[in-house]
Amino acid sequence: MTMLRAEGVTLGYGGTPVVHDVTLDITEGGVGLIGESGSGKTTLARAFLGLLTPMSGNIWYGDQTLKKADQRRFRKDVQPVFQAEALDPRMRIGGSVAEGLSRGERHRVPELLRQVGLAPELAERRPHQLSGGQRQRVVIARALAVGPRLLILDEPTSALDVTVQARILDLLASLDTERLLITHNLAVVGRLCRTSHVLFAGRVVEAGPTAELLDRPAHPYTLALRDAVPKLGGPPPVARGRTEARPAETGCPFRLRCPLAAAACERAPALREVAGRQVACHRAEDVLGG
Amino acid sequence: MRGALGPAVDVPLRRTLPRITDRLALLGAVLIVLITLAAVLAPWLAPYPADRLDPVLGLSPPSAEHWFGTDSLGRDLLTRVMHGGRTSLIIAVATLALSAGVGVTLGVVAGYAGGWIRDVIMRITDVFLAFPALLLSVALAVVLGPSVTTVIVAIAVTWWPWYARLAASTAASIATRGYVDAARCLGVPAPLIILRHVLPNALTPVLVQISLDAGGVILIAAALSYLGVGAQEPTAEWGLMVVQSQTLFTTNWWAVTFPGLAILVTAFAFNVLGEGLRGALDPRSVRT
Amino acid sequence: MIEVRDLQVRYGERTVARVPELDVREGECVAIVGESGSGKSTTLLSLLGLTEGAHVSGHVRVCGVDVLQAAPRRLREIRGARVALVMQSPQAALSPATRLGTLMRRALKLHGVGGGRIEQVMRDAMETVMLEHRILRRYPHEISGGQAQRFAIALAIALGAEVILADEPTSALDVTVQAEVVGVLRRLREERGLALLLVSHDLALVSTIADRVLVMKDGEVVEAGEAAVVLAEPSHPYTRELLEALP
Repeated sequence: MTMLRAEGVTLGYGGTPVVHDVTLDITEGGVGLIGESGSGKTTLARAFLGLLTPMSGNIWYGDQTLKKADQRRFRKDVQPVFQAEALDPRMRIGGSVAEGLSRGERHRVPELLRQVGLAPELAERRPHQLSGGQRQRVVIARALAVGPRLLILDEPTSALDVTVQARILDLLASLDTERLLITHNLAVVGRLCRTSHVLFAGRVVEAGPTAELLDRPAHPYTLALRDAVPKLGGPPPVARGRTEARPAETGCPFRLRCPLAAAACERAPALREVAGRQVACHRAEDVLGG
Repeated sequence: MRGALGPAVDVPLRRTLPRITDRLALLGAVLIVLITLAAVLAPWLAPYPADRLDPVLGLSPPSAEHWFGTDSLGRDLLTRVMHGGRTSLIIAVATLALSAGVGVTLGVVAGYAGGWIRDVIMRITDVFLAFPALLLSVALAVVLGPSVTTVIVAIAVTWWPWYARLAASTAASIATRGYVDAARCLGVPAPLIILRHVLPNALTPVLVQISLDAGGVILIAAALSYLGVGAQEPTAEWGLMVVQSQTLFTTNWWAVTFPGLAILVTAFAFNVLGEGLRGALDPRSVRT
Repeated sequence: MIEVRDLQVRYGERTVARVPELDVREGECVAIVGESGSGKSTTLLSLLGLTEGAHVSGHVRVCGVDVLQAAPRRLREIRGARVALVMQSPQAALSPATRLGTLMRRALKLHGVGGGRIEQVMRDAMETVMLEHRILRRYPHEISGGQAQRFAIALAIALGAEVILADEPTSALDVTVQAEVVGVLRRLREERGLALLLVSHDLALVSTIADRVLVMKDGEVVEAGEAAVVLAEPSHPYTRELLEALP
């Protein structure tokens, strides 16, 4: 059984849904959640963290819904790692790291800082005296303090320089926890996640083994994402379909951007099994066939 | 092409403005320190005992013995202005402490909690905002009787909602920050999150507002005395002193000018200090 | 179009950028690659004399104007008109209460484009960057980051820019949107012979569009040359580190 699972979850703010009927298991080996800004990936992360209550559907924590689950245990088990600005600017680093520790456990702060590759002396500093990479390590140390089994990582490296980014990814990969990684960066997902879910306009449009998804996308959106990523020495990135088109209100949400859109696409596609993954596209076979 | 080249155009302006406000702010701070010292040390520094009457010297113009002249009862005006500063500053400090205390507490809770808690608190705030401050003060004075305490209560009652609003909007934006979410995910209880993260980070704009408001409070307190609901004789208070001597302005200008100037200078000092603080703490606001 | 020799930008005692040689010819794309604090943005800004408070020495020619010697008036003539600057988030630099169309019209008038031609020029520019004409009726906050970036490019084209200086023009955008903006820039190069100087931290992106690259670290150019050569056989350890960091 997976530790955390979304089942038919619809999420929104002020009654307007932004994530529609998503079912997602956080399985072993890392799970990637890929999508562009506005796809609802951060909203979904907040629901997994219990920061947002679903409008419908449930988040399951083991065999209980999140609402009924033992909060103390859940909070120790599941921790977030947000972008680098997630530190209180007025607090010393040591204070931030110790946020989840009881008074008697404070002595662990130096050890936690060392664990994420920081000098224990940094505990006396304030966030603005640290580099972006160091701050991100502090955020990770704060999460690790309570001994989580699952980390929810929301764009943990996107604000950082590439060389720093690489080192933070190394650190994350070395940690002995499960992870849900939210990002727009496909390459990062390839490294840290065995399975991936591609989110478009609040819906999962393709899900399966990451390698399969990146090698042979079955959804035109996954294909567009993959081909838009510049590769070293490769051809110029390709823009497939115009990104300006808003998600369609009816039928397939991607159809107004989709170069393959056909009459059938006015009916909303359901997720179905194609070539070893789940995909919500009437023309998945055509996409796979190139 | 102003769009892309905006920064180049803006730079000189941005550079000069803080420098001016900085110097003004410094001047404000120095003035406030001087005024406070003069007020606090009035019993020792003032040239004459507070209430010494000298009918013979009634309404004498400024002279070597009486730098500010004397009032119609022959009291030394410099002494009165210094003692009046005590009253005015006590009113300002007490009023602001009371209204900021109440306002910030309610505002921070409203802003952090959101939902119905915010709705309830903000509706209450709106009700208080709807009262015309002066009218309410007059009404209160009728009930409580005119006194310095009445002034403090009256102003605070109409003043705290502004702090509540300010604190609520600041707290609401802080509540969305990553470190607040992180604390929630670590299971830190809400009251502790408010005390540890929200309040300290929401305090900066409030402090700026307090120093901007101090001048205004002194002016309103003076206005209330003017309306007869504030400090009463023989208490020295700047507003009261202005009222008592206003009819003498054409014949004995000093009696109304010096307390008036005291009000003006103090209000000015707090204002420029506030503006300077705002500029120093939030460089963006200086540009507007 | 751009010719730089022995450029040195200093703030007080601190040298923040030193570039011995940098040339961008017509239709060429040159990229300056580096991480934060490498001096890459400073170098870019110094080409337009926009490094306020800095001491800039050396020889900089942009569109035939000696930037370091020219009178402010002469500089203003090339800024915006012949040389356009595209920043990471152009929305922040657009006046919030002005419709995009009004903004473009004003800019054109300011640079002396005649009344009758304005509408035509605007239409052409918007078409070139693949933006719908109705976007011109919107306010800056009503458009997306990708649209804003393309609008900034459209503005440059409308004003007849020959050189575009772009500072991380796509790093705040989604990859799909980035691909669109990069596509527009590439096309302008090919079809109009636009010269492009691109500042970026993304080696992969740079490798797909730049002819030549300069790698900067701590204010110094550590490696420079043909993009294909530098990225395939990096000679400096830092370039190698950057390449290895690519996920």
